[in-house]
Amino acid sequence: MLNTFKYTVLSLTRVRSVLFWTLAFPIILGTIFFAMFSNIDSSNDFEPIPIAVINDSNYQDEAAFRQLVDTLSETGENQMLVPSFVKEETAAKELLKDQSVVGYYKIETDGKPKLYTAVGSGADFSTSINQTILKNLLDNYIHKSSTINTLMEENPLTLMDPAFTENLYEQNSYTNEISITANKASGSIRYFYSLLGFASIMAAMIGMTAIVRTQANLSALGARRAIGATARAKTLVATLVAAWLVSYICLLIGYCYLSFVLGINFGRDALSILGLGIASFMATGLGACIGTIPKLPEGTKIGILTGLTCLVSLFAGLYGEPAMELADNLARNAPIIQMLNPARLVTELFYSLYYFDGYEQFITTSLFLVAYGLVLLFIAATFMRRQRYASL
Amino acid sequence: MEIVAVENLVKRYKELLALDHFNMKIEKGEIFALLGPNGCGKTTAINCILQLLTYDKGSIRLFGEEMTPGRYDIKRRIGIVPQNIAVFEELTVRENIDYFCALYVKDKHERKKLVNEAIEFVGLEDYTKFRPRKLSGGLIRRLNIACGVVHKPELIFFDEPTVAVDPQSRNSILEGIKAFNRSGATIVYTSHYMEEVEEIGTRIMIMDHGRIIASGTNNELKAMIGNAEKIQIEIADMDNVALEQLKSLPFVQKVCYDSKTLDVTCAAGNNNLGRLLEKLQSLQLNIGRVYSDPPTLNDVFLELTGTELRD
Ligand SMILES: Nc1ncnc2c1ncn2[C@@H]1O[C@H](COP(=O)(O)OP(=O)(O)O)[C@@H](O)[C@H]1O
Ligand SMILES: [Mg+2]
Repeated sequence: MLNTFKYTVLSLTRVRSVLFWTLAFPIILGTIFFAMFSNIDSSNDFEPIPIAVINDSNYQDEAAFRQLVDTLSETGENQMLVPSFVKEETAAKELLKDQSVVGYYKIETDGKPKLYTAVGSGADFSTSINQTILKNLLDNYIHKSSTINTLMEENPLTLMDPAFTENLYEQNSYTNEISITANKASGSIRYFYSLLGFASIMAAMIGMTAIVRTQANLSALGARRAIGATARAKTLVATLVAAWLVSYICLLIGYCYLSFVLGINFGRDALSILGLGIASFMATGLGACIGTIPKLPEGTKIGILTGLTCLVSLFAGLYGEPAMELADNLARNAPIIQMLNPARLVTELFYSLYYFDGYEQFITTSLFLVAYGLVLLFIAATFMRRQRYASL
Repeated sequence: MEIVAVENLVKRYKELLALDHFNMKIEKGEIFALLGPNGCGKTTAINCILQLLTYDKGSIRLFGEEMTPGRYDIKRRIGIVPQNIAVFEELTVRENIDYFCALYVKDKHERKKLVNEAIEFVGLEDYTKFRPRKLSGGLIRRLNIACGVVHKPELIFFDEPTVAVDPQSRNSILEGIKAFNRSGATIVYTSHYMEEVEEIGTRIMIMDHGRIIASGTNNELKAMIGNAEKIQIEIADMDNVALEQLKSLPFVQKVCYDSKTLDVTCAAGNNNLGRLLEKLQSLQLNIGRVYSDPPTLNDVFLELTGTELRD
């Protein structure tokens, strides 16, 4: 069993076509994406937004807003704003005009903060993203402070609960909100998630190749191995584990290339690596499933798998804006199809790591993918276990 | 006890009847040769025996026990050199042999010894690091053989091991098979080359269209047919009168003349050639070269099926 494992790993890592599709191709595609996007958005690291704040008596009166601006301006990882305090609105307008700030906050006479930004079409992509972020920040603040006001009038006791107020003012809740906005705007990260999805499905090629070589009805080698004195189950388990390992390694290499060479930040590395393991498990199941289809020659199966990968990747939004819209539409209108789309699932798995602070989404998607892999393996097993055939 | 006992095996591929009540009994120590033209069902028979193919009827017993796909204990005693090359393209010669050895032998040290012996046996010492793609047709056949016999099985199936092999490799393969047999292995050998079968088979079974035509030792098979000898004589001028005279000889079965050579098929018996030459001399014909061929398995096949074995 150990030998089957060893030699399956050895042989798989030497199959050139497999290495091309599962290793080289995603790396090439990633490099192309990187070259395409590097001038659109500089990176997914968030750059604090330069803003003017009119520091007049109205501003001094709004302690809560002052607190917000100060918190968001604290230097460090979570810094969102680089404020320039000015006394007069005219000074703020000057700064806005020579584009040293994206906008300015002003507390109106009624005590409500307001955002002023440059109007017109001159704004470039990143400026308009930043404007949106500033606006969202403010809306959020207004929404929450009005909640507090209402509560103060109706149910002041709630405010005594420290957990509640903490929640309201917790800076994290702002950064969270903001980071969603930021990443939606810097859309290129989506391509790389889709790419991971694509690479994972391509990795099914490995499981497929490995399984074809164990099936007596599919290859002379499979027939020869079936006559050997090693139990069928052992051969299959060793082969599948080997295929899983090799596809996992291929994905890890691709991931490391994207992450360390191209410098793409996928969020939480440890969990991403776990995610790749899960994705490659599902891919091995998929490969085994396609691999065991009787009568089709291996070349045709490679074709089927390549085509399938490209198709599911289309619906996972690999090919740019329109495809992403298509993916989103499909998710809304035909949720079942998208739920069963392995590329979409893998894409979502990594998404969830980046977008959500919690693990719920990640765990749910992971479990679904594992279950998916198991179902595929189960289907494959009904074919794989066979030892005798009516014809070879 | 027979090592292989196949009784009334019937195998159909949809409409095609590939094996029609096929029977085969092989004793320990034999080189049992299965001879028949391409498509007669040799590989099908082997694949049924090894439980790769389902069959419609019949019983298969190996080493006195019923064979099923799960009988790994029986499989351990069997070696197989399949007709189609079955090796890993990406593994080297040594890795391939070691892989197949590991299907039967767990112990690492023992395996190493066996692998070295197999490599030496097929003469691939200079190629141990080569991938199969880099080997010539003859060498790759030898690798295929090494993979099949590395675990020193008691019973070895060779399915057309000499197809597409140069004469030198062919001879060394045949010598190798004899050596295995001498060291105690029972051999099942299939081929559509009668010369090979005559050379190595201790017992021969001839089959056609899934049916057994005849079986026995080489001599037994030849004794089965009436014609013992084919005589070919170069004669320049021969008329019909002379031909008729030849045909009337009691031991002559068939006469054929194409204005240059005379072919005479004789019945079994002694001194056919002498009596024939005597007659020709009495007819005062100019005789050139004379060839006399003992009967071949092809003649047996021809006699029994009405078609030539060679294609
Ligand atoms: N998988 C198959 N499906 C249908 N017919 C087959 C199949 N394999 C072999 N045959 C047919 O069965 C017959 C016996 O084939 P085979 O056992 O390979 O012959 P041999 O090994 O003697 O050349 C042939 O007529 C062949 O065409
Ligand atoms: Mg054959």
